[in-house]
Amino acid sequence: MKAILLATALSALYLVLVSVGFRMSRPGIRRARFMVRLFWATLPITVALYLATPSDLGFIPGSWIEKNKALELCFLLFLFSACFFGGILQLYSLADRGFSLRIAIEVASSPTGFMTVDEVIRSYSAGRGLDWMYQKRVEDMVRLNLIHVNQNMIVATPAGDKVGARLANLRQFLRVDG
Amino acid sequence: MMQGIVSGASWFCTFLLVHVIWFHRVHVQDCFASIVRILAVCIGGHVGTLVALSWGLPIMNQILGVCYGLLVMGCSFILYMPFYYTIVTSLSVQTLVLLHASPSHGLSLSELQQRFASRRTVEERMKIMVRNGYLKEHNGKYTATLKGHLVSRFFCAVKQLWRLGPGG
Repeated sequence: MKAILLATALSALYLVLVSVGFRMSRPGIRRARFMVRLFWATLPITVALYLATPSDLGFIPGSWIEKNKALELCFLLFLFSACFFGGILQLYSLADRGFSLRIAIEVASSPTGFMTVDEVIRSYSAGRGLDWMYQKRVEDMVRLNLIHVNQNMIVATPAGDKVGARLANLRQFLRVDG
Repeated sequence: MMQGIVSGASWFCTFLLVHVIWFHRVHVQDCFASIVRILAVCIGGHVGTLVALSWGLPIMNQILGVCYGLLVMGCSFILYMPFYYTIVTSLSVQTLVLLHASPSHGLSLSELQQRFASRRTVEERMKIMVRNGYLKEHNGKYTATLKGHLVSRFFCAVKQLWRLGPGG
């Protein structure tokens, strides 16, 4: 029970820290990298907090206390990591890059209350348009050294081609269309 | 605790195995519904395992064991699903796969935009959103449903709190 309570408290604390960090950061900061670094920085705090607090946290009933401390600490780290990688980081990723989410926001905030496909394309991401959306993904892949742009040609780097081959096999194995 | 964690982890591995084998052998139409169904069966298996193993022990120990296992399964699920959906839906992943499949491992930007940032892409995505209950369509005009409004309001608040800008 102590692991669950501490993981919840630490996730809430992390959310506060990342919100303060984002609000105080300069424009153009790589937010995902900042989030991952902040997460690694909070891991020693997590271990220290676990070791410094009593097993019952002052109120947990005796029958709910775990006697195997190493197991409980590993469980705490697993819970906190899942909250971060599966929850908070995904929340950010969806809010900042979600394609469907952006479409939903455009339609929901339309002054007329409805939108056609062409209107969505024109107004996508506050008027930046659909080409901007794809250009952003291309720039991210260039930054990760997966592709390079030669005049108007997009070519996979050796690393990008290797990743592409693995992903193609995986998609084929799972019978993903498209 | 150990019993609950081991049972939860084992049943999540079973879920993964069944999911991968099933999706490999059968062409699944509604992927998310199928995944949820497999997970529900595995959750039932975990609860059954724990009840059978801790039969006769105090009820609180049984409940705690079940909860620990459910937490392991829930956390593993939220870690796995983004990975799965990245492989299935990500435009960047699809771009790399397409580049790999092209003879010279390269394509022009306009060809890629035609494939991944065209009117057809948006139209198909909006149809999926209609099927999932986020939008309604009438004579080519799309409106947001209550679910669509709630989701967009929540994420607008997150964007504002984190000063993310429009994004997308």
